[in-house]
Amino acid sequence: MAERIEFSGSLYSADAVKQAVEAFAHLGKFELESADDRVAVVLSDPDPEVADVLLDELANHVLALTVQSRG
Amino acid sequence: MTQNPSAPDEATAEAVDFTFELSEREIAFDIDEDLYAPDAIYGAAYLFIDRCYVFLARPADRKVRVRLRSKGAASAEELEALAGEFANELLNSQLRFRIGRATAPIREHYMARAFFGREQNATIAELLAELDAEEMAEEPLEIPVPWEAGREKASDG
Repeated sequence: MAERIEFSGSLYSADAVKQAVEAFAHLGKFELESADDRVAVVLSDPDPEVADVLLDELANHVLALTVQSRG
Repeated sequence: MTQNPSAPDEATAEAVDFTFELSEREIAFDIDEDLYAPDAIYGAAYLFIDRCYVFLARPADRKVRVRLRSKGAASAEELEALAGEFANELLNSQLRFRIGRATAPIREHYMARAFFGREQNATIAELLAELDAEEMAEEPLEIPVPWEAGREKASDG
């Protein structure tokens, strides 16, 4: 079953979302959906060892990249 | 449940309720961007990344919802303490941001003086003049040797 998380475009950098998804790509199948002022990440087939925390870890990663990109 | 951290700005000194929603392993609360700068919110959030899962959302214009989810089991008291610490860090971050903004012209001034100031040029000019003043012309090759200076001092003494 797919899980979904939406990042607000006014709070998160779209580039940060893409970079984070690339960094986590080996842990599951990620699809990006951009709509309005949001970037959604849909996760399917996650690595069972980290499935319960994968999107949370991804969100932390996106936040870190966003903060770093702001200098 | 509410807490009342100090207001960050005298201009907005009215009481501000810090209301949060508590659920299993997570706590969420809203931050008003009229009170806290985005950089302050990011600064506080960044510090909590290693302690918990942080997620930011935009429930309304000029509002940021912060959700802190514990990485392991956490009691309601621990989650409330986490939110309180975040609120304190937010104030710290806001203060740093305001001081940084207020002192930016001073920093820029000193940087400009350090790199492009007239005093710097004067110092270089003085050094060049000092070099010229040295009696290097008397040396055929204009190469001063260190023992000459020592010998002169010895003869003076």
